[in-house]
Amino acid sequence: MAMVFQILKKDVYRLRMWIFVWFVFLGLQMVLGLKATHLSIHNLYFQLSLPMIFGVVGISQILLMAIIISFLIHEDALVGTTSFWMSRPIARSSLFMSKFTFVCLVLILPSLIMEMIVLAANHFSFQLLLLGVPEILLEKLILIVPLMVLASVTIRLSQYTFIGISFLFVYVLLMPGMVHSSIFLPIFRTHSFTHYVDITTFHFYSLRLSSQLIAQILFLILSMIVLIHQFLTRRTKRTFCFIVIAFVMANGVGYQWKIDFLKENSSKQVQEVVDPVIKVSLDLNHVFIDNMPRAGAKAKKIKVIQVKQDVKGLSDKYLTFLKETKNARMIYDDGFTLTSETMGARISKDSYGDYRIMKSLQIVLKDYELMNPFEKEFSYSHIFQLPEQTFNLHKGKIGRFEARLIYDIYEYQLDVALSAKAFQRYSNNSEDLAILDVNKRQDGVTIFVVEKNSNFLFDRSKPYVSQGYHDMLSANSFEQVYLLRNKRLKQAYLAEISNDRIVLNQNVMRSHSQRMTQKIKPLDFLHINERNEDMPVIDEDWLKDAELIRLRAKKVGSVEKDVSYSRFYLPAQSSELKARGK
Amino acid sequence: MANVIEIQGLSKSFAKIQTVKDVSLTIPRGSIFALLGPNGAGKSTTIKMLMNFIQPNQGKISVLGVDGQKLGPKQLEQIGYVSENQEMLPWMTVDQFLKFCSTMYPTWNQGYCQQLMEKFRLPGNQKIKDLSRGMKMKVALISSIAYRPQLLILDEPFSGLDPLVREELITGVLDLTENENWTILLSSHDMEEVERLADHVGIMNNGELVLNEEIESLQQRFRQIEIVLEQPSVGTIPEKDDLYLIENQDRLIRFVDSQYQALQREELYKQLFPSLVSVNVKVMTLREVFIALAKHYSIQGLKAAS
Repeated sequence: MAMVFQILKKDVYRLRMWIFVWFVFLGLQMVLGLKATHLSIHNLYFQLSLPMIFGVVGISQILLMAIIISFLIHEDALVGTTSFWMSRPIARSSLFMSKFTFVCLVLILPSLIMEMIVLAANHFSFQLLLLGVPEILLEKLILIVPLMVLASVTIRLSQYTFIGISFLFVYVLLMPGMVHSSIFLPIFRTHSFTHYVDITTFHFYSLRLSSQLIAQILFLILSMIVLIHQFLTRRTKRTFCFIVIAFVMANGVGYQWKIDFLKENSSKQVQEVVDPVIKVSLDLNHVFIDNMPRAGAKAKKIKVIQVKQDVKGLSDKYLTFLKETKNARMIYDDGFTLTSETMGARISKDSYGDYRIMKSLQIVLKDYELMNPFEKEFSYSHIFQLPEQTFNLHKGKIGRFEARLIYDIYEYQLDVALSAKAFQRYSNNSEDLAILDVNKRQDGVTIFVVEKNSNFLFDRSKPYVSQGYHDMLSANSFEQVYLLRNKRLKQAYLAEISNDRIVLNQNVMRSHSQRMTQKIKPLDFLHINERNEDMPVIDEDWLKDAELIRLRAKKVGSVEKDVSYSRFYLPAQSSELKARGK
Repeated sequence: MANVIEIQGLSKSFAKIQTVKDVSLTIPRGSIFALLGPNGAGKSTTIKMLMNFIQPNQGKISVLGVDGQKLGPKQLEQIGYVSENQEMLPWMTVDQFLKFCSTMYPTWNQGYCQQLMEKFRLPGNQKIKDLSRGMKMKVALISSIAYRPQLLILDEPFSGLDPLVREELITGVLDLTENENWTILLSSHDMEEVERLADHVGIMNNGELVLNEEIESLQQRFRQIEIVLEQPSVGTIPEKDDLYLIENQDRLIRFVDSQYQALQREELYKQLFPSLVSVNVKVMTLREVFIALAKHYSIQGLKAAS
């Protein structure tokens, strides 16, 4: 143990400047995590530059970690025959213990503490913080241990960098590119590989996370074994072989994993409270044809057929959204069947600016009068998708359209009510909402709110939101609607649709897992707009009795309906009045 | 333990090049063994295998009674290793470096270390990377002997040093060997230092150990012979295994006799050269013996190849 301590002391002294820089970065990240909201709300410069600063700090941290690990290991290199320690009475196990202790004390523990401080300062509960510990440790180790392995099989920073970049090139660019290319996609389709790009089905995504977690843990264990092997035996060629084996094994096992253990079974989370006797109708008189370039492979146009659709038989308090169209096909008289390409579930990008949502909102608002409802109709929904070439071959041919439509059903519930004053706050275990500022204007008022959400891998109670989902979620999603209401006058205003105007949308802890995300939104409540007239003025007097409320659309059920329409055909252009419904 | 180092049938290849071929030797306790050979002979590779820096392909090694591949901290506490290629910690000062080394050795003698520092006039507060090559070697030497190891391995420690520094270091080692009963393995291609320091010598050439003998014995049996003939020698001079580098210059024949014994060999010369008039026998320095051997084996190698 004495030797471990001596080497550790030596390394800390040797790398003191780098350690100092590392702590500066951690400090900076902590300050950003604590103060970003305040910095960005009143200062346009910070508003614009903070996302970039977060990104730079995050990447710099990773690079710094890689450099420190290189210097740490290469100081007493395991490769070659000239290292100082080789001719000295230093046990290899002591050397390993010392290096690993350094990594834990300097790189991992301070990161963990820093993030805990930021999360605690943002009012997340102690229980949630504890849940975050294994996730953070895993996240750090899954980066650090492979870097240590890489350093242990190289002799200097240049070699380490070259091999590291080569590996990244293969793993990040070449492999995904190959996998997504049209040559290999058919092969991977048999393993449902395309499901890995499906980021919107919570249950499936949770399953994907579970398999990814298994792969990561296995890879971490195997990497540790490889690292210890290299330290104890210095058989570098053998170590390289073990690295490849570890990588293949971990990913292989991950792909085969089929049990979701991370989240409560989300497919059972939603109870069927809705009467299943409902009717679905497709308005085939109004068809819209869209072109969609396929991402990733050669730019190939895809034709998407969209129609208006409606669900009847439900109470007005329920909202329905077409989530997925399955098994859509056209069956022609000559026996030929044209099948729609797989259409994954859609991300809920629908905004609340639709007249049908107004009905549901009004029911929740009860005796409050909604002063500025929206009046436009539902947008079109995808029902069929095929390559342009195939579309051109079959357009105009009459056939029978069949599909299974899957709808999600939502109900609005009052989630938060805050007095419309600055610094009002709502907090629960995993979420925080605060009013930053109430900004009076001539045509109404703008209220700046900051939403903070937790997103912990091991929080079984909450669905885990992917980076992609988070980024794509619109500021005006129907899932979350803000209103300003006057308790005395019983009047309510909807926040205007802002064209995704979010001041700050950040992953505060720059990591792929997004443990804490923060959005600053400006909510405009206007008594003068283009669609409504003679609305009560939102003035100081009106605001005295005002409260900001948030309604959340809670999923209460889903329904699958088979539809069948004879004499349907793919129109040559949008809105041809040709199809006749069954 | 009579022998500090025992090597049997040691071989090592890198890619398809055999660097060490079936080397066997023993180094008794208290001896100073010099491993000689030209560049690329396999000396450093042999030493690296002794120190367990690299694994042999074949053969057995025993160092201080322990299998060479299991050489661990306990044995390394008793081994000092100095090599021109071995890294120290260049960012440390001399004092810091020696202090760091002292923590590794239970037998470290700080007084002795200080004594050596003064003897070699080393600046304690200067960083190692800022020292000259000679001073670095001094630091390396002190850090490897301050704990009084049983075995000291010096892998070409004096190469490239100026004569003054070299002399200082050699004298330093000589003083040590007089006062301590250490076993020293010295690898070099400097004959002068080997002659001054060593009592045993092993000569390696092309990976093979071609000679392993006490220096005294070696110098006793090697002689440079000049024979004057009455008439010029005609025809080829008959070869014998122990006569090397035969030169025929009219009436003067020169060669190296590797098995010289005064009266007996002169009888042999008379048999070989009947018109012998006189024999001039010259004692060879170790350097001359080494050169003669190197040339002899080089010629042998060419003959074998053709």
